[in-house]
Amino acid sequence: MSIFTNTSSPFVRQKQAYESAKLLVQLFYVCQFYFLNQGFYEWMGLRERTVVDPLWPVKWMSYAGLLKPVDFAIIFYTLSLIFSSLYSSVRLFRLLNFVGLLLFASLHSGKINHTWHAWIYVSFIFIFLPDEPKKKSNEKRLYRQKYLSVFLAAQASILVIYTLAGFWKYYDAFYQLANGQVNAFSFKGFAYQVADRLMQTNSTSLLGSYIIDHPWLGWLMFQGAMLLELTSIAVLWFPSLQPLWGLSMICMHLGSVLTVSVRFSSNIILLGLLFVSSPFLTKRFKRLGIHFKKVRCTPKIGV
Amino acid sequence: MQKYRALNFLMFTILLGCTLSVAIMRIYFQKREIFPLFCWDLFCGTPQPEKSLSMILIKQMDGEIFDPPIEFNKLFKCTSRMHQAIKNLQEAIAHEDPKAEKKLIKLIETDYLKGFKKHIKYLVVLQSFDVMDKWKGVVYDYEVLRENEIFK
Repeated sequence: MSIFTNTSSPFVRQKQAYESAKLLVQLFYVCQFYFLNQGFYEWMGLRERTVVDPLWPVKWMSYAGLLKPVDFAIIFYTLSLIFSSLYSSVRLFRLLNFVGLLLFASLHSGKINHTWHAWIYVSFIFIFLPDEPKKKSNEKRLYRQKYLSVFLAAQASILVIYTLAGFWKYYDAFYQLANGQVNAFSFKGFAYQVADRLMQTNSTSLLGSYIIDHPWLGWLMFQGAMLLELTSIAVLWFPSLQPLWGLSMICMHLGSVLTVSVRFSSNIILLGLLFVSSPFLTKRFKRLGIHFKKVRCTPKIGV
Repeated sequence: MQKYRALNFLMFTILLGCTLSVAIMRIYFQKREIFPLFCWDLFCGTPQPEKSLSMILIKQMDGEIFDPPIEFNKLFKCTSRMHQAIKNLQEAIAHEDPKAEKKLIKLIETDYLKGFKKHIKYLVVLQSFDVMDKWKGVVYDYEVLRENEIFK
């Protein structure tokens, strides 16, 4: 990880941010072995599963006839992952990783499963990371700036996801409010969500019953989560807030385990990688925690 | 410098394009996903106190009779895909689409109800209930859409 100095030189800051981002990109690929491990565990089950309406990335494989789609997708993803984690600077391997992840996710999704979406988006954006030049330092500065721009775009894709999640909650809440229905602003709104979800999945959660009996707690939590989600995109212009935002979202996901018994493990890893360990940080932040005087608009790195 | 700005513009265009696409997809076409684009409308739309839900109730399994029949998720692992499949099945029955119904029944029986040893008898039903009352254990009546039986 980069260790920032207090220098005001944008070039030094750019170089440090780049080094940090480069390591995080490699970690992005290495962390995917965690999913592959799960894929290997479920391999046999996936082979036997009936797929009535396969997603388009795996649909064509049914007609190929050489290998079972499941086998092809897992082998392809494994190979792409080995190469992309070792040589994350090679665009071809990043491209193959994107294709592999898309196939692998399609096997698991069937229809809607949100485990993979964010990883697919980031994997897609990382294809655009530039190739490293070997000549002049001027070119290297430009290269680093492009690299960080793409990294920032990957962060933006995640922030957009969360902003959209917040937006639809407000959108539906106002719609239901206008129609005189129970809505997200209602005192018992979240209690209904919890009861409905736990009954549907026949699951229990540590705080589920408590929230149903004490709706004020759920109401507070849900209002906070909605607002936090809606305003996520603003973090793009305040990089020093990225770790705080990342940790807040991780806490929100942990809260969803405690209340509605829904896990978002893959998103937690991504939030940790891209935001809690953000390359756009100051040394002071890392040492002293949040220092609001240092909150800046836009990452001031670059040429 | 030009190239760097062009890249920024490209990234911005991709993100804006995807965001607008999912918004249009949801608002105008009532579609949540065109894989891998997803609109991210998770946990929005609060369930109303009076709710209708399609469900599978198990009547008999391997010699054991359940009276009243119990919900499948009390015996088998439940996923959102399973709920989606049951909802689609109910819609296929309502729209009198035997082809879709046959496909969905095959999916449900082979993937989700495969945990039995010899025999299972189940109902596809439509329940209407008050969420909070049901949570507290109040038993509600239901409309039977189909009754099926499988032997191994």
